[in-house]
Amino acid sequence: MRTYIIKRLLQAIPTLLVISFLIFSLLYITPGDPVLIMLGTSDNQTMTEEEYQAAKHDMGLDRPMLARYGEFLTGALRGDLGKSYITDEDVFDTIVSKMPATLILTLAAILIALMISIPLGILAAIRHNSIWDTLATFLATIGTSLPKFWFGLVLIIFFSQNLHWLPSQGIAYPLEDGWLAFFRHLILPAASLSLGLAATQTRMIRSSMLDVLGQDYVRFARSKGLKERAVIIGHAMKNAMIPVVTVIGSEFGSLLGGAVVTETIFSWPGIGRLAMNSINKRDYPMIQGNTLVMCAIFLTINLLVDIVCAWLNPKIRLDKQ
Amino acid sequence: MKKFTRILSLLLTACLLASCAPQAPSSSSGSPNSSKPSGAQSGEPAGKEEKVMTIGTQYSIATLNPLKATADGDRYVLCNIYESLVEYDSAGKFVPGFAQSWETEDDHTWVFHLKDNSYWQTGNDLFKDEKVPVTANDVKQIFEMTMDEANESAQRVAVSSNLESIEVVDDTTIKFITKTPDAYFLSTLANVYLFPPKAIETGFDLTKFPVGSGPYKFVKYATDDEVVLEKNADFAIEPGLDEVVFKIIPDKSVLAISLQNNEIDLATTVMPNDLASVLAKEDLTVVANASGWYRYMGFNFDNELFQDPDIRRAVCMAIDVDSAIAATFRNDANVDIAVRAYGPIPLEFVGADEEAWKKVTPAYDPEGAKALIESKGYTLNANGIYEKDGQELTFTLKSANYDPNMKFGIIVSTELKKIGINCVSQPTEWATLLSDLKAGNKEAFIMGGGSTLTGMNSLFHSVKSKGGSHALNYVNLELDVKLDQAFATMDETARAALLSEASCIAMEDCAELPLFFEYAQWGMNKRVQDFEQTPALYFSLTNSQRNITVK
Amino acid sequence: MAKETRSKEQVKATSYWQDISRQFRKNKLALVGLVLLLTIIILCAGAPLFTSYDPVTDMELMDMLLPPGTQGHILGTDDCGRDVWSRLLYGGRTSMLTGLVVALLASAVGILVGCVSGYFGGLIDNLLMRVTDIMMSFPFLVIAIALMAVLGSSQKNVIIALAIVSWPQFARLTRSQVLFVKEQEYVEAAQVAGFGSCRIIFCHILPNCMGPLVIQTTLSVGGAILSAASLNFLGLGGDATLPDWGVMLNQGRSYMQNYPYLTTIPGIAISLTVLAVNWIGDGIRDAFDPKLRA
Repeated sequence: MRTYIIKRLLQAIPTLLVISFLIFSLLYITPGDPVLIMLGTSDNQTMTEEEYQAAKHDMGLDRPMLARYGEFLTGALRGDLGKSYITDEDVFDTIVSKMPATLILTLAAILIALMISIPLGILAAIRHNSIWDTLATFLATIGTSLPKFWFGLVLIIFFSQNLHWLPSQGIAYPLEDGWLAFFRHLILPAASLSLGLAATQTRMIRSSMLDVLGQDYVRFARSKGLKERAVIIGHAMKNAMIPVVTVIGSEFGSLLGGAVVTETIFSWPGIGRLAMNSINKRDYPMIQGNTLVMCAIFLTINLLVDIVCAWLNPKIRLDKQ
Repeated sequence: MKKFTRILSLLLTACLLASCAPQAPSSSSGSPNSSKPSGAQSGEPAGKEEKVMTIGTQYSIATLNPLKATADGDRYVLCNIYESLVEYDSAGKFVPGFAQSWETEDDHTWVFHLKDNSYWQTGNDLFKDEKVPVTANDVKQIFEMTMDEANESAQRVAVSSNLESIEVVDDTTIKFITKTPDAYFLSTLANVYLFPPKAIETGFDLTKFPVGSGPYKFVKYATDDEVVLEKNADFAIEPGLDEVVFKIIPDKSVLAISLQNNEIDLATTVMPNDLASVLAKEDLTVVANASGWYRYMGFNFDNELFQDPDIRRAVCMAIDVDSAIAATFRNDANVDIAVRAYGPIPLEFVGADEEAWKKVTPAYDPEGAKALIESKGYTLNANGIYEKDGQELTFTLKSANYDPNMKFGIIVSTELKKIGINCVSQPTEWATLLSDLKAGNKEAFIMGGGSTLTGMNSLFHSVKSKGGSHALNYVNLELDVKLDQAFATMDETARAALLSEASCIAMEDCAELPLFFEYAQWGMNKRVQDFEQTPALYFSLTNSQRNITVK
Repeated sequence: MAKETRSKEQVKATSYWQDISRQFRKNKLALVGLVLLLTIIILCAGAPLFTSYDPVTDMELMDMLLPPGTQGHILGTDDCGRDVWSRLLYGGRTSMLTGLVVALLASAVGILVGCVSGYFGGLIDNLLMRVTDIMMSFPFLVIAIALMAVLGSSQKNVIIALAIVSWPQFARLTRSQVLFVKEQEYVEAAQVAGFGSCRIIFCHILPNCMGPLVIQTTLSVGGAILSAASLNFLGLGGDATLPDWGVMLNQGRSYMQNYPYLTTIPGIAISLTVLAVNWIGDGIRDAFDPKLRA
């Protein structure tokens, strides 16, 4: 197992190199010009050609692409991801400073999603084709076919505007603003973010449970006279979790990359808004840095997912060639 | 099995309860916004209550560096920390800033009389607690630093292109001498914030901690969340607020809801559909922006189709601009958000001449448009689209991907389809749109702009508009000459006449179809005082013209 | 049990598929789903039969925002004064096509990659999985804008862009299932019996990991319709005057407080489609499930 993990970690190096080059070339062919954006983000501003050239020179964008890539790469190897074109701040520091907000929101959303989907999914499976099952399918369908902005705005209109229970936007920090404020600001964005995930997970859990409940070892456990609860929790659950864990892994990764829509609607200062702002403004160093960090996150999470799957079912052998 | 279900449903309920638990105590506490009070509720002990105003803005902050900031969101904050020589309100009038008054000695020489009671802000690492006055020498140094390439100022080219020299007469008098007469030289100066030269000399990072001489001091900036400023007690006028909070709320609908919840006192924009619900609240009101933002439909003159003036005219005649404005800006509160534009200069600005424009700008006449197209040899084909030599009359109309520009793009292209022109509406992501416009990768486009004093140059001047985001690639030397003359004319009446003539030339030529002037609506809590006269945020909250406070 | 399936299939390969289709037909909800989907398809494909309005050019600016139930406009009019019912019918054509094609394309590519990766393991696995890691960490917006620059704007390119960004999830899911299933006795038995890899993957492994894959595919239909709309707003789609469910939803966004029907109507249309597809998916899943076939 240890050699396997070391091998996977070593693979990260060429992967990150490849992605750094890919994102660099992709940004090169992407239309849009950071200079134009920097000189006039409102459509009322105008600029002369001379101003344009001067700004382009200041940003170092008049140099050839490969030279810029080389510079980026040597910097990145030393752990320096460069400075943002727009804010002039260190890219890595900026990303790190946004991480806590995103991490909190992601964890809360996944927690809520699991609290909804595990009971509902199991119920739908053991009451296969019952009213519970249909209800679960209904909820899951709505959860995936309505856009995130819709959930967000409905929650805000209902809980914030009409009931005045919760604030409509912003973040609060437990140490500065107190735990109560922290939770009050967290509930709505986390809930709206969790719906899509809860929907997918409910369906996934239902389907895996159905798969597993019919397996020989479950029948065997039943025939041994074990209580149904023991059968489900002890035997069925573990194997049923494999696809669930895989999907959570993918979702967790992309949520850490930021839930752009939810963060925007709830004015949540996380990675998603950072990423979107930097793309909208063509802040190349920030986009590159963000992508590299995202890739590292995905590599780690997918490694963890593989390890967890192997633990859930010892028959899966990771290091077999 | 039954028992299991019961346990499960119990579990489910428990989960639901657990997830609801944190909100239970808050609903019992009664006060809806106890967590982040705006204004008076902050629980100050007896005595004077803190005056706090919270401004909700949809703009993110790009940079707080006074040399580099150009975006609205940045300038909203910075104009309160820094002074500038002069300021202009949103109707294009110049008002005193650090300069109390000014006059021109001749067409080239501007003399400014400066305040003697401005001090660099104290309580920071740059000046500690030492009260250092701002002097004429500082101003000279600031402009020199702005023009120095090493400092990479965004205003470098604009300032250096026409500035000949700066002379310090005495501590409170300074002269600026320009290379050529420039009627709007003040607008160049207004864009330069007076930052402490000491910061550049000592390498102090103004981006992390802005220090100026304005009415409010920087306290903190939490990225993408909020900026907090506090009163600068040393400022010549006592600022009306103890604390100003800029809350970044990117979603405009949420901005309106936060205003209704009293989480913010001022909202930078209220969309047409939110006006009614904002106005329905007793303590809220809306204020229209002081000047209109011009929007138009432009043609690319490099495109063969649009080199024909009759085609341009026919397209202009086919669009029912009045109905489109009515549909786009209709709201249940019956607030007038936009007025029809017949020409390209905002009505509040020098040179606007609605009567003259009405005579030359094509009027809505779909039948006339069809006749004009048919006179060019086009005939309707089986799909109901005009065709000549097997070539359909078709073009793409690009617009920004947000309203009102996007909705206008959709309405315009539908109306053109109705009369037989296959116009494809293509909302485009902003960064892509800007570079498409600059590179000439466009056929027709809907854009806003030119709503500045020198806007006519960036709209129509064949050299000065080249490569900009309004580049029509339109060349009309007669128009160029008129514009050059106008901006070198110091006399306002003469300048107005020249600008009016220039704009009429462009309209008669159907260089673009003027659409409307939009008066953005500010949402405001009535506890905010003194904002209505000059409803703008890139104009400091406390200056010689206004001192905003809250009740 | 599983061994039974295998031997049955060896004896008579066709009976397995016949069996599955019979199982599917026995599932009532699956049939309801099928009927629902067909109804939606017929309504959209035959749009001119069910409405007299043109979804684009019948724009009466003065009749904007009429509520549902107004004379002549059964579902009201939108913010430009166009008939919502006719835009719903015509819009379904592009939306259904996009949703279904993207889901099928992405799952086909993803399943193929996942099977190969999971079954063969080793170098191929590492290589393919690192590619999916890279694909997953790329910012979607950047891929979309870059593709638009290279390919140009059209509905077809929207489908391509969406398929490109959504296959990696399927690949990862398939791989994790294959890793699990390939250790089962019947697969080992097939390997011992000397069957080719292709046959083992498609006849023995894949049918046994259909469950999660079908779920993921059917659920991704809604997401694809919604993402297509966001690409439309970037300038990647075709003509913005043309109707599309996702675009309708987005355009109704600023009217959510006062005219909620502008978002709920297309929302319901998408939900119904996804629901129908999910019921069909459940039917397919159950039909493949040997345990439920008793």
